[in-house]
Amino acid sequence: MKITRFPLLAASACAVIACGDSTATDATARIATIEETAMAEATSNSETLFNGLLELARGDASRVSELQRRLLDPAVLDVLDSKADYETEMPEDLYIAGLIQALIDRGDAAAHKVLSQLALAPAWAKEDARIELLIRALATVRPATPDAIAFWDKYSEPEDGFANLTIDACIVNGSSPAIDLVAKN
Amino acid sequence: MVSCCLDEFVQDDASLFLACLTIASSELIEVLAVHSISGGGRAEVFGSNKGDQVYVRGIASGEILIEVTLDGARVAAIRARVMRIKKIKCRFTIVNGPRGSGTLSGPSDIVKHLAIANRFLRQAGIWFVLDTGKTIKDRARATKIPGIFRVSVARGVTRNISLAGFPKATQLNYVENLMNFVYIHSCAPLPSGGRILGAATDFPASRAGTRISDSGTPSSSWIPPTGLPPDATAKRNTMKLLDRRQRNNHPKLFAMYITNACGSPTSNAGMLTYGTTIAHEIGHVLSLRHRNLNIMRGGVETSGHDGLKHPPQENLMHANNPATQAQDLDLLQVKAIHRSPLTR
Repeated sequence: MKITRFPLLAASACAVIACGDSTATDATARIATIEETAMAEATSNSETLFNGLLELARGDASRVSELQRRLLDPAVLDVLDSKADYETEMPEDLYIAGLIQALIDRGDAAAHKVLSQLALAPAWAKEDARIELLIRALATVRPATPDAIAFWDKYSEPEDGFANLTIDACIVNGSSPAIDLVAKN
Repeated sequence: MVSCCLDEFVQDDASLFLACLTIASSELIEVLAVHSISGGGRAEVFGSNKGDQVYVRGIASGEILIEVTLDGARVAAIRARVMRIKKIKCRFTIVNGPRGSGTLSGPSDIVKHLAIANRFLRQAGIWFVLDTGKTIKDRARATKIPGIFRVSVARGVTRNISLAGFPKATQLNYVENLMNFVYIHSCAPLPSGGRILGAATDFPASRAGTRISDSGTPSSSWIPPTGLPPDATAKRNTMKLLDRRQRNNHPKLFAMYITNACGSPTSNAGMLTYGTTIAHEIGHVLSLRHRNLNIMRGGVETSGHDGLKHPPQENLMHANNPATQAQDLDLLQVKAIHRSPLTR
């Protein structure tokens, strides 16, 4: 691998010292392009499940209610992203992050209701990444609901790994309850 | 379009330094001359002075000029600095939180990341070696690889740490006056959602102050005017440096962190990202600012660029270009690097 490059008529060199072996580059990407399939059978394939849930997130209010029911089911969460995924991926690279983003983009009362309900679900809080995603997502729910405030309050302890996010989320939210929480903590 | 490269460097048994001059075309180059410029620098062609690769061997420290011809016409003049490699001791501490908040990299991964970082830094005459000192602090534990340690912490010390201020993580298990690398889980996401790959957190001021200049020919990085015909005489170029960034009561701490956002520590792409992130942040520890852009990924303002706008994309200190593109350091940066207290 060339580690120092000096284009003609464009640059001058620095030290004439170095030794090298080679490194190479490749690209990894997580791309979901599978067509929509029947939700009833979507239990063993994360990508298929994700696409089905994404359709619900983009559907009418009744479909969003169905999404809420599914996201409160620990088995669905486990299929969507594996334990290994939670260990090795950044939160925003998980499938669940795509669904949360769809709810944020939707931004209506139905979407806000789902986010608030997730804040109450014990299963949701079993993975740090899901807590992190929800802390940030709730910033878009204005004014902040009592459920959101309670959730943020729970994750505002020093060195808990979430407090930085919670403070940012409250400030981004900007509603009185959120600002009051920052002041209190 | 042809491009001229210095690559595939070899250090011979006598600790003299060889550079292989190559050209990215099938045509043959000829090294016309190797001149001493200043400081008693001397080098000589090693073997044939013609071909698709020509070796140049450094003999004495100082600046030299290598003139290259192609089909009889002078096509490049390359100013270079001959020096012995400065070896800098370093240690790594892996900072793990509870389950789900650990680092992806283990000791053997880190050895590979450091090796890649060294490939990029060697062009500046520096080379990081693991310190074999036995000092252990803050309940850290030694690993099987001397110089690499682990420490268990509360989640918030390693996960979503604040980009502002001085993180606790980079103070853990450190030793004065050597480079302290810390692997952590993550920095809090930027408002845009982007993630920080790494950050330099603690470094004293450069012995050069906050600016450093060069007026040689050709100009550093061939910043126009280069001083080579038909260009006008080279001007004095001044590069801004970072001022010190130090927490209270730790004046001899040199530290930076690397995060899981660099990706898989074992894939080729991931290793390159870890390696170049380390090399880039080391640049900051050695007082280099960003080259050309004043923004980082995510559009958040940083501490400012170095005042030079060339090269536009290829410099290792570019704020956000990928590792496959931002790889070079130039003479002015080398000059600055060797004025850091860390390279003293």
